[in-house]
Amino acid sequence: MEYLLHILILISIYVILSASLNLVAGYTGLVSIAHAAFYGVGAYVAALIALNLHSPFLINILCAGMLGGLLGALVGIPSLRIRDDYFVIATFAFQVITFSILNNWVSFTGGPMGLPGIPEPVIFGLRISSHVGFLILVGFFCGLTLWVCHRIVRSPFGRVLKAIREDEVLAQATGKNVAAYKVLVFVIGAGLAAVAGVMYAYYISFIDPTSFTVMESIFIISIVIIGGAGSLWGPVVGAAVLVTIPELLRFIGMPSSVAANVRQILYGGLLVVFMMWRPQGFVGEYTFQKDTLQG
Amino acid sequence: MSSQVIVNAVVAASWYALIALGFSLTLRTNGLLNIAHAAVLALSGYVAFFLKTTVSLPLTAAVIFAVPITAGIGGLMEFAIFSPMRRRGARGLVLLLSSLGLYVVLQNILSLVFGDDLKILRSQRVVEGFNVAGARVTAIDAMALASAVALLVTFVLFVKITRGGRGSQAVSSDCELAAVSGVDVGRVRVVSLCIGSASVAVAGVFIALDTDLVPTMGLHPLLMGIVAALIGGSRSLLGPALGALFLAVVQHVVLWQLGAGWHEAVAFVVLLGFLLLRPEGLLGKKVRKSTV
Amino acid sequence: MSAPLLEIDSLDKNFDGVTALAGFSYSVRGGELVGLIGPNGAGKTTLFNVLTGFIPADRGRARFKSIDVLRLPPHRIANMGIGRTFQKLRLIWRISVLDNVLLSFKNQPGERLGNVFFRRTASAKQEAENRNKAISLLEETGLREKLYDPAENLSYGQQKLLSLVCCFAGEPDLLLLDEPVAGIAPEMIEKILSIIRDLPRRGKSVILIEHNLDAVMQVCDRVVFMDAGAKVSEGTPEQVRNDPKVIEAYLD
Repeated sequence: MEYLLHILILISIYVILSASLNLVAGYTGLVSIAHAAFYGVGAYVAALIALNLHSPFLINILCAGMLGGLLGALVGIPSLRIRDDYFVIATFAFQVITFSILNNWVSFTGGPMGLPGIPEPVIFGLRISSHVGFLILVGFFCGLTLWVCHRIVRSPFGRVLKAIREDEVLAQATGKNVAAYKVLVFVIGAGLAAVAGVMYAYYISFIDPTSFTVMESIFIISIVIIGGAGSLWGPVVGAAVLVTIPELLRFIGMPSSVAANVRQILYGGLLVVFMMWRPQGFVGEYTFQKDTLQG
Repeated sequence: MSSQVIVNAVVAASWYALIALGFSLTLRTNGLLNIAHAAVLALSGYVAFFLKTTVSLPLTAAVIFAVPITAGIGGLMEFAIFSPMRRRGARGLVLLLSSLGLYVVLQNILSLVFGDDLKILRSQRVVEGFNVAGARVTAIDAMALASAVALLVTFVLFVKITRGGRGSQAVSSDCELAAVSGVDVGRVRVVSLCIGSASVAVAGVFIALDTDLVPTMGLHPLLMGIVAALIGGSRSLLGPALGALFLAVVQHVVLWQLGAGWHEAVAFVVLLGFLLLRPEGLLGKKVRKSTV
Repeated sequence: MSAPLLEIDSLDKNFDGVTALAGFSYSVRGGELVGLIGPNGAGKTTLFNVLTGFIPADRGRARFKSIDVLRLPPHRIANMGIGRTFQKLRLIWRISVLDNVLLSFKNQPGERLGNVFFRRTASAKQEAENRNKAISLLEETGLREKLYDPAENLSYGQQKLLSLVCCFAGEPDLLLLDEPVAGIAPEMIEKILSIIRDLPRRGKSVILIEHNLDAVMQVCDRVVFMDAGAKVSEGTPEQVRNDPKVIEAYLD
């Protein structure tokens, strides 16, 4: 039972991560492999504040979210002047650097040793120590994320995001301030990813840089793509599939050292397969192809 | 400025140049930003390791044979994955995303087969370096520089003189026109990914000789190579080499002044600067953005 | 005499040594329907691109409603009241005809991020009004039955009509139409031309690029003939048609 709860908690965290990236990449067409950087920043900020200032959980998550959002704006601004595929490279570089900072700034982040001993979250006097309690907590934020995405996507604001994805020039000629939208969506996406990071930090109560690498970013974008970019349920389907299937490996008796690699081969392979035969993923609508001919 | 700094910069530049060359070749001829090159880089080191330990080849032979084997695997990637995808209409972004998936798969295969622990490629004998104008240069560094220059020269000659080379130029500037003129575009693409992988593979073995083997070893060098290629101007032949030199010099000057640990940050700042201010790179021609 | 709606003064634009605009000057008043003709490469679309902020000019001035537009970003120019269509037809193909029109309305509170979560009744009200406006526009132009079809499913002629509807929905004061009837069937040409002809009556000004000279002569009050980036002739359709310089340019 504990194991099942654990899986559900993991899925919820990845739903937050992939739904937020889906807003940026799936709905607005800004592919980014920097998401694990925002995830990591959120985790580290919350952990550092909790360990050093002993502030309450809700304050920590607010701070982490805001800082994540700010960082998102920083990454979003270059997207205004740099073309799609080169922008992906820029996000790749940002991701690698963030990891490097987390890993090398030992005095601040603990370096490769990480930050242990993150306390249990306490909300309005209620201490959350059980898996069930934590699932409810992360489930709440997961639901909140999905609600935010739903409201955005169904609104005129979301309509503009899609227009930007499909034809940025037309969006501009129609009077939409494309730059503002891009930065805003990055702020939201990064802020939510940071929230996921906070969840992770409190759940595992110990964080180190190896959870926030390029591989993790690739994993998150794989969830978005395989689940289905540009759809509200895509991240849920994708997270459920990509988190549970590797866990099933454990049931067939694969040793855990091998399982980690096989898990990655699975999602890497699935990414290639889906890009080849079904780029819209399971339930998505966006295929990452910019139309060059119409009419 | 200390001559050691200059020497170190030039040596680093030669590694970057090898990777940048491979990367920009794939970019121009295959229209693909290939992140899987990071796995190719690691792969070449491991193939050499395999040849040395399991097949018991002498180190030199292992290193030399690793390159064409890795190049072949690179060509296989184009043949088995990217070409079929392209036939289905996939372009830039989609191919880039697939290369990410490929990287993950390849790197983990290396982890499975060889393990994540550090493997040593070089022989146990310590080879003395020699002195150049007051700076120390190891034998490996010198060889890396020499091969980078040799490869660059060969490459330029190949493109300018041979038919295959001119074919690749044609494909990179206008592949439809090239196809109509009788160039076998598919084959050119496979060959160019072979050559690109070969270049990266050479860098791979040198890096492996210098800093040992670990499956994730390819990411950092690839990033440097990409930055070098992009800031140098991947559309030109010599651009990547110039970009490599520029990047290495800037990094080492910063290293000299501010101490270690800033390599990646410097690369990122340089990359961002060029992408925003001079996207065509140092040597590239200004591309007229006809967006409307 | 009120100031002209649009004043263009000596626009120059050079692309890597190719002259696209060479000292182009012209003025458009409110309620005027101007045709812009000339051979391929004369700089007509470049002029539109410069006026709508997609390409910077090298030299010269352009004032819309007495405000300098040359250094403004495209979305600001659009919001000031200049709408355009593109030579290479642009629509959001994946979404419905209705959504394309809804996208084109200006001043939508629902497009502001804050209003996605707060003040939702105000945005919902505006959205409902816009929906009604969109549906009646589409009804007027005969696209009502395609309301929920994705734009990509329409015929080429219907798509061109839709792009004109979208341009109009933004309530511009000046419409820059780039080859609105090129490549479509005669009945659709008639339909689109009758809509365009009606625009000055609704208080709009139009500059129309077309190669279809009959269409231009039928519909426009004034015509400008452009060649090699400069204005070669201007006047009523009759005057321009009979101008020896124009005849010579076409015979070349």
